Amino acid sequence: MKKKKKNIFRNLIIVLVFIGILFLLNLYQKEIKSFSYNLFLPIQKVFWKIGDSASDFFNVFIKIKSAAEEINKLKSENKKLLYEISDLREVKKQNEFLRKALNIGLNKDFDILFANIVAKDINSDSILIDKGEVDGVLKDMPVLTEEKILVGKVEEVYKNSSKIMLISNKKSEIDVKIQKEENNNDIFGILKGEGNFKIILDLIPNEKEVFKDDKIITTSLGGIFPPNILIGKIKEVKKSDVSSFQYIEVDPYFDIKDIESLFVVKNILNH
Amino acid sequence: MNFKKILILIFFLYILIIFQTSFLVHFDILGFIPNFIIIFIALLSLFEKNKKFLSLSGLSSIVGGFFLDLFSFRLFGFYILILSLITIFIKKIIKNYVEISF
Repeated sequence: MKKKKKNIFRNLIIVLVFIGILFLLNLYQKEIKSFSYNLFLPIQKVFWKIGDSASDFFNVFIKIKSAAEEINKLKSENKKLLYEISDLREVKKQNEFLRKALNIGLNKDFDILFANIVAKDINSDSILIDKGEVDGVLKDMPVLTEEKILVGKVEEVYKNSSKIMLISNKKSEIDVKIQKEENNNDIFGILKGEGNFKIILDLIPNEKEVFKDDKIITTSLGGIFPPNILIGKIKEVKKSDVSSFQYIEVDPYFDIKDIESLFVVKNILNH
Repeated sequence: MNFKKILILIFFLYILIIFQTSFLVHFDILGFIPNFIIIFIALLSLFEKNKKFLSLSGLSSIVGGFFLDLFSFRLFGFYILILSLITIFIKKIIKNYVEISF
């Protein structure tokens, strides 16, 4: 009991001494700190310098990383802008294309549907456009350029796209006529696709006079194409004693490699 | 506790506080710098065999607290008190509830 009391007394003394020391430390705080800082300063300076250099060194990496991130960000923004520019160019092109078509009066003669070519298969003389069943495209609808030149007709219709059979397709046969100055002298024949973008004019008798650069236009005979649509001009004429018909090679007025947009003729308005 | 050990400890804490206040301040993580003095004292209290306050860890908490108080704007003795309480608390817990075989 006596020992316990002694211990409590001892601990109390320690606590009091402790509080007393703290009181003194606070009383002379300024002097103590000043003295300590003087003592610490030389080594602190060294540590500060090392830390500063080391942080600068690591900051370079952080900055390089952030610069790389910035470059990547700018690159992606650049790509986005380039994409937007190309998009605007496409819109401009389409705009010019439509203006050209309107000037020719394509919209007055026909109920037309603007379509973009999404795929070309020159080897099989067919193309794919971005308009299909949902846009009202039907099989056998004629397809024209903005200059009112016949390109072909719709061969197959899908939901959102259609396959166009070019006039040079081997399966293509169109009733046409060679336009002469006088209407009564027009020569009628059949335009046949030979494949590989080659077209010939068949069933033109040898006695008919046909010349190079004569214009070929559609007739209403087949019931598919509107009449008087330009197709091409005669490129070469060959006559043979073996055959009663001339061999006439036709040069179409359009180059499939240059075409990006077309018009599908849904209805003929002024005929 | 021998005198040599105490001197080494004071020197180590001195280097640690300079390291913390002059070197580590350049490498803050989201504005936070770990307090190595508190970590050191907590670890020392945890693994020291002597379970009384008047031991190496007890002395460390007073000296370490003093150094921390030198660089703080709080009332002198704040860190001494905090570190002493941490040491007492850890030692009490280990003495009463944990057995560590060294």
